[in-house]
Amino acid sequence: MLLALALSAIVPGSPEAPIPASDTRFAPGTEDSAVARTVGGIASYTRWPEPMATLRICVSGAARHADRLSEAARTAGRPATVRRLGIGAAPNGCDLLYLGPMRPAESLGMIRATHGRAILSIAESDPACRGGAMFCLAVSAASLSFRINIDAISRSTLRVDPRVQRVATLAGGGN
Amino acid sequence: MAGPTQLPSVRQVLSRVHFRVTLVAVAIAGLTVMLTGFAALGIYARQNLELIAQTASYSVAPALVFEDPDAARLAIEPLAESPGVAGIAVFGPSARPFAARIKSTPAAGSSIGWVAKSLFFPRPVAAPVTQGGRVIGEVRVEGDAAIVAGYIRAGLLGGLACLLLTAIATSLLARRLQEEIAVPLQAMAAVAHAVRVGRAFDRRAPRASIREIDTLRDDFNALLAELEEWHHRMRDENAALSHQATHDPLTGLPNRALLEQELSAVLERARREGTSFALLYADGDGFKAINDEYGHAAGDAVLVAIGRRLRKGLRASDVAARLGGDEFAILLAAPSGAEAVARASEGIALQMAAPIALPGGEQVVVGLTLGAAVYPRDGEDLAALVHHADLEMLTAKQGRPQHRKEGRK
Repeated sequence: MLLALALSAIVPGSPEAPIPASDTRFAPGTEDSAVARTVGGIASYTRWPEPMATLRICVSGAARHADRLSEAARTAGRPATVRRLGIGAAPNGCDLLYLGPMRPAESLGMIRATHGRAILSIAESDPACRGGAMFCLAVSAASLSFRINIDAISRSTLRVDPRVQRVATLAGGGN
Repeated sequence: MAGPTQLPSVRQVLSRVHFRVTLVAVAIAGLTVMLTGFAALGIYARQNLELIAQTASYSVAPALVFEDPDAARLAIEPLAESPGVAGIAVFGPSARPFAARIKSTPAAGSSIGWVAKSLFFPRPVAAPVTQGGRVIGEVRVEGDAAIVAGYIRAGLLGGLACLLLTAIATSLLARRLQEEIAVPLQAMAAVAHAVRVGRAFDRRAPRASIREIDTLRDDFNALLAELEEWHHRMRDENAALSHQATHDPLTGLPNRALLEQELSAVLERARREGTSFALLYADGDGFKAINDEYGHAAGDAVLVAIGRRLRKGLRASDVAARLGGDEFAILLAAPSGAEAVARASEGIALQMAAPIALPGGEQVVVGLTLGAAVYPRDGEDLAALVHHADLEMLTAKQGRPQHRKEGRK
């Protein structure tokens, strides 16, 4: 009833706190689920030029947190399929390219292959987000954050909801 | 029954009536404006909260999706700062708020603020948070009644100010009306009072500026004029009646009653001041014979002539009176002694020596027999003086010749 009173007790009111980076907390050992949830969330706020019924996820490289990516269907709001893609393979039939750790040249090549195509690229381990992927995850023991590469997004045919930027940490930003 | 001091004055009545009328008008107008204002303000405030809730729900959705409370707080912070919002809370699937932002509300402490809050925002406005058509949470916005409370406070203050203005305005209005109604009425009342107490029948009420009152004034003044005329006539009649009661109609001389009155006054004064005065009695010689011989008209003419001649040579303070029949009396006012009596007697004898013309053309000479009494020599009181004068006259009357005929034509 008295929401104000109830809330004031919960929220440690310090409006001057520094702006935090995107930070999704999770219980230890559930990193993979957290990654799947985040990937699905990003997909849900991304608009492809052609509407699609199923989100086709392609995983490439030595991804460490991609085992539960099929769970992304829940946050993405549509069914999701996951398949492996060899490094350097053409991303045909992919709506979302999940890049695990690989050499920068390989990574660059794979991302270049997505240019001009409606493929959302997410890098698993590029904390500075300089590799050219649209989104870059930063997974630690208990929290997950992601950065967003505005240049990459603006070059693609995909449209990302600007609200995601608020949650994300801008690549190259002073954060 | 209430006395005049308990009755309200015209001005009080006017002021009261004006105040009531204006109070009702102000109250109706003020209440209407206030209620319409409340209703409109309430609707707008609610719409504002709903809009803010929807905006918050929209901008907080990704934060809920990515389970990022800090981002959620950042998203709702600017919205929570907007006026009319006391706080915003975001709820995820769990009962505990996912993120919240509470603004301190100074109005929440005041009673007006509490009333406004419970009137307009009894419970927070909620909006669902959706992602791709799926409800993933809820945003609740608590309204801040500070603006409404301010409006109520301003309305009450305005109403009070209006009442004050009303009181002043009605007082001024009543004063103006009083000048037009009460002042002429008071002037009329003052005139009426002056007439009643001071017999000032010549006073008139001044002109009034209101038709009814001026008509009343006209009638009042006309009534006063009639009253004045009536009063004068009454006074004249009274004077005439009183003259008739104290004077002899034939000769116009004071009668016995008036003489006795005068005598008492003169005696009183003489006693007080130690002066002397004289009383003369006169009786016509052979008057009965004139009556018998020439008729009563002739007798009357003789009496009139005697009266006129007696008056001659007297001072204004002296009194010549007819006691009845052919008996006369003369009061020589103080200071008058034996010499004055002698002088008066000589003067009267001289006057009476001239013949009196009768209506029939005949002429007769009528003598007067005198008797005198001088205070205090001949008596200390009226009875003694009268007796002395009467006795002296009777003595003198013995062997006096009757009237003489002055040659008949």
